[in-house]
Amino acid sequence: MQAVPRHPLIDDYLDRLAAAAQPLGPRRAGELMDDIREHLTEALPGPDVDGADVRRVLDRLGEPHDVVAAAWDDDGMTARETVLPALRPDLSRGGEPWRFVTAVALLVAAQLLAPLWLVSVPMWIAGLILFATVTGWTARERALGWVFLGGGFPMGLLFTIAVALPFAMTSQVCTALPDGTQQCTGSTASDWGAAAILIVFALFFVGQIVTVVALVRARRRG
Amino acid sequence: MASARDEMTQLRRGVLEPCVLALLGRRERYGYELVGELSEAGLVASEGTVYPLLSRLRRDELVTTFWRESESGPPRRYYALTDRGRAAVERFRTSWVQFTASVEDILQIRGT
Repeated sequence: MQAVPRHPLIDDYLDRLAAAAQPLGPRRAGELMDDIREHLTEALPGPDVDGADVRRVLDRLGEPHDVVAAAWDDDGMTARETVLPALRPDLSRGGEPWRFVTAVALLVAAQLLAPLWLVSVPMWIAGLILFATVTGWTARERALGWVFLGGGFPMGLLFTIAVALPFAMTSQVCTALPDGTQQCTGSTASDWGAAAILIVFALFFVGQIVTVVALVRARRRG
Repeated sequence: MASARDEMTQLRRGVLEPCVLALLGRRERYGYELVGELSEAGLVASEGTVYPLLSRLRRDELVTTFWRESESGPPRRYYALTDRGRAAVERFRTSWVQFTASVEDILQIRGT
């Protein structure tokens, strides 16, 4: 087979197509890649190709995830109307959808069940391993996942410890009154401590939601 | 109500396969040539989506493929209709005539 013309846009397109086609399996993904390479070779003859021509040809080909989605739809392996439409792009980019969904489920469950060591630790480890095997994200997106999804279990543990701590230390000033009673002014540290902990954990939770949305969107980009 | 673009997408989805088979029924074609004709006819929005369809038609034995030398470059993979594919086109032709007659009747495209 004649070599596909070299151009950064073509290289990028083929890379994205290869990543998107991965879940189709090696044989079908290979077939699709061969067909698209052949198409590009026919559409852009000659070693020197013009950037505008490349863009036109790639635009007409369609986005890699659309091309791969056609393969899924065509086989009836999944339909656009199936459940979890937001996660459907996962089918076309880097790994089967169950890996991503299961990894998130395990990591979140480990976070919620953090005090139950025997259950939560294996869940956390399994979730981390699964998350590591899902491909198709940039380094930044993956780092987000490690921090906000992988960090869920340690945060769950910290939360458990934090709520269990008696906030005995106070910033109150107590004065002994002549009648033998005590008068205290100021607020308890526990008020501030609890508020701070709640804010930190609320922010972390928001970060987790943002991360899941960002990872799903990243896969939609193909 | 779906947009005009969505309507076209739905319509294309239903007719793309028989149109591919019908084109191959006229004569064998290589992939790029076939895709170009379908695109010219406005039957595909993304040309790349035709290739998975061709793979499936091959697996279903409605088309067959073979390699042929090209004068202008590397050998090309040609697609040709099988007997099974020819029968599928004939079935679709019959259905299509009945189907379009009914739809045109309802849409009052033709005089009743």
